[in-house]
Amino acid sequence: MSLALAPARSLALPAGLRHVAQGVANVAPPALAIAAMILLWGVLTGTGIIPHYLLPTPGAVLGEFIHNTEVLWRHGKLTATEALLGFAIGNTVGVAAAVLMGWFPAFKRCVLPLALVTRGMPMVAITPILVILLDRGLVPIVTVVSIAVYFPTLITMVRGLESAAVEYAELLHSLSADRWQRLLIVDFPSALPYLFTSLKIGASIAFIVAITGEWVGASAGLGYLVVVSGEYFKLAMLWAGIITASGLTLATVGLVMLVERLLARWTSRGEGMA
Amino acid sequence: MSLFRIAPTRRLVLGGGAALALPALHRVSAQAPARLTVALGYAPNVEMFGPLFASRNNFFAAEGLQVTTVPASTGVDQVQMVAAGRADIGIVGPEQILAGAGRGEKFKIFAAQYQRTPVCMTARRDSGLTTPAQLPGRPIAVKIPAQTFFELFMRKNGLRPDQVTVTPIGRTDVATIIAGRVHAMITTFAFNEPRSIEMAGVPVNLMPLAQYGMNAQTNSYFVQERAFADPAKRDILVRYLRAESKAWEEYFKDPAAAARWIVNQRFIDGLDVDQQIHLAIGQADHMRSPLTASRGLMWLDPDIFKETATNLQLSGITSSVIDTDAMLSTEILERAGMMKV
Repeated sequence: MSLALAPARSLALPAGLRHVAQGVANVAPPALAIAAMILLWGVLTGTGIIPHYLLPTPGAVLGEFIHNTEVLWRHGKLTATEALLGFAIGNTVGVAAAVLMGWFPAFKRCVLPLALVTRGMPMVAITPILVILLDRGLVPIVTVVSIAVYFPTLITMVRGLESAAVEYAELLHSLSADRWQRLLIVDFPSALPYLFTSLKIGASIAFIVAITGEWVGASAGLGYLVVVSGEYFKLAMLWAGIITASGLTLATVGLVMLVERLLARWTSRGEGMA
Repeated sequence: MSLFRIAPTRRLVLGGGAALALPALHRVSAQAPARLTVALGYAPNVEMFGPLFASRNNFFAAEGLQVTTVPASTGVDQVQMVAAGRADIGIVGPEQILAGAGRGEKFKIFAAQYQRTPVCMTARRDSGLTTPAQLPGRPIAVKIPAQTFFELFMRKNGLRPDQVTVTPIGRTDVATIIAGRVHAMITTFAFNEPRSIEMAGVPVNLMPLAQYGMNAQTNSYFVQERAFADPAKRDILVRYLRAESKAWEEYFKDPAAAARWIVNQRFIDGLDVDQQIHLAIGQADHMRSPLTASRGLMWLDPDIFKETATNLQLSGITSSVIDTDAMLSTEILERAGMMKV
């Protein structure tokens, strides 16, 4: 680490330039990797090694982004709404359930097995039932995303809330702090690293489940667009839909990481009281 | 969501039965429309022209109806929706309706869009396959949900399923046959996959299931039996079909124009106008029969339903042959005065 940084220090770049250089160093490797992948994709499809009926050329997919921007935007917006609403609800429920489990062990013994059962149920089996019960549209998809997202948050937060240093808890106990004060001052800050880990997992799960849900019980959204494009063998649009979904997932994970970085002071374990 | 929701005033008007309903056009305009939800047989493309055109052009409104159309999706079928009361009318293959009946649901079938099923086996022309008798020893792709169909198709044609090499494929996979890994695939919709395969440069031969012992009146219209038993609700069905018939009249004047209309209306993204025209022209032929010429559009053929019921029992989907005579009714078709084609 120190060796790698040594030349930069010797150049004595101004702080602003160093910041830019660091940014470029962070962005360049993944950007190059993506560019290389697109190039390889272009070569493989352009030379016919991968035939067009299996994978369209990058140009054909780009054409869909240019000519059908409005279509992709409209369906992407709906999928993002479903995924993000489900993400928010699922995580809120997961955190709340973890807090309650910490406070009431009997609640934990009752609910945890049920949580494990719901985790084991495939979403493609649950979605049709929700569609019949709740009707088509936003509600069943958001519900199924929430169900998928809450579990990782619940499990990691149970562990995270239990990870607070004992001496802090004892200190607060000696100061006659109530459970809310302990939660806000000690337990929750200690659990933040765990929470952000589960949020990153949940962000990717949310989009996957939203799209799968749309395959089963929706009339719009990227999942529906992908299915319909597949039915009509419109592979360029199908891949444009898939890439849009991937982009939305990455953006959400990136947003979570950004928030995590902004809260870095609080997300470094053991520094909550520092 | 209640079945055939009618405002109380309307219910009173309809209480007298069919005679009151037939000339009701002017009266209904002044009253709350009867609302009904229709679960379409497929995505809103030209296959579903009747309900879509009638809806956009206020044909339903003119009949005093407020119709909501719900596109089909892969996970929730129309039988579930009608049985659960989420839809009043379902449009679906008779196999699903009869399978639902086999599980104890009570339905009534009152119309059918196709006079013979457009489902077929599609073979690469360069394989030389033109009849099922040539299948033994050939590699065949079978869509995973169609495995039962495939096995029955073989048995109905005097063959065993193990006489071919089966490659299971997904619902939308045409790449396997285009790549030449199989000689044929089943099931395909006559106006969809074959065209996609030919567009990729692979000419095909079709083996229509209707010609090989597996005919069915695809896209049958059905409701819950208890709804059908209510004269007021049957009157609503008459008005519904009358409006749809008017839409189909427009369709038969120029199927290609109907396809262009569907694409331009943008009910759904991703429709290709050439594919829709291909579908519209092919579909028109499948909607015609001697029965539609003599009795009218969407007529029900009891013999075809008996064939479907027998096939379902043979394939083990139902434990016995469902009595389709008791499930069919041409009353609505007769009263609606369907156009003859």
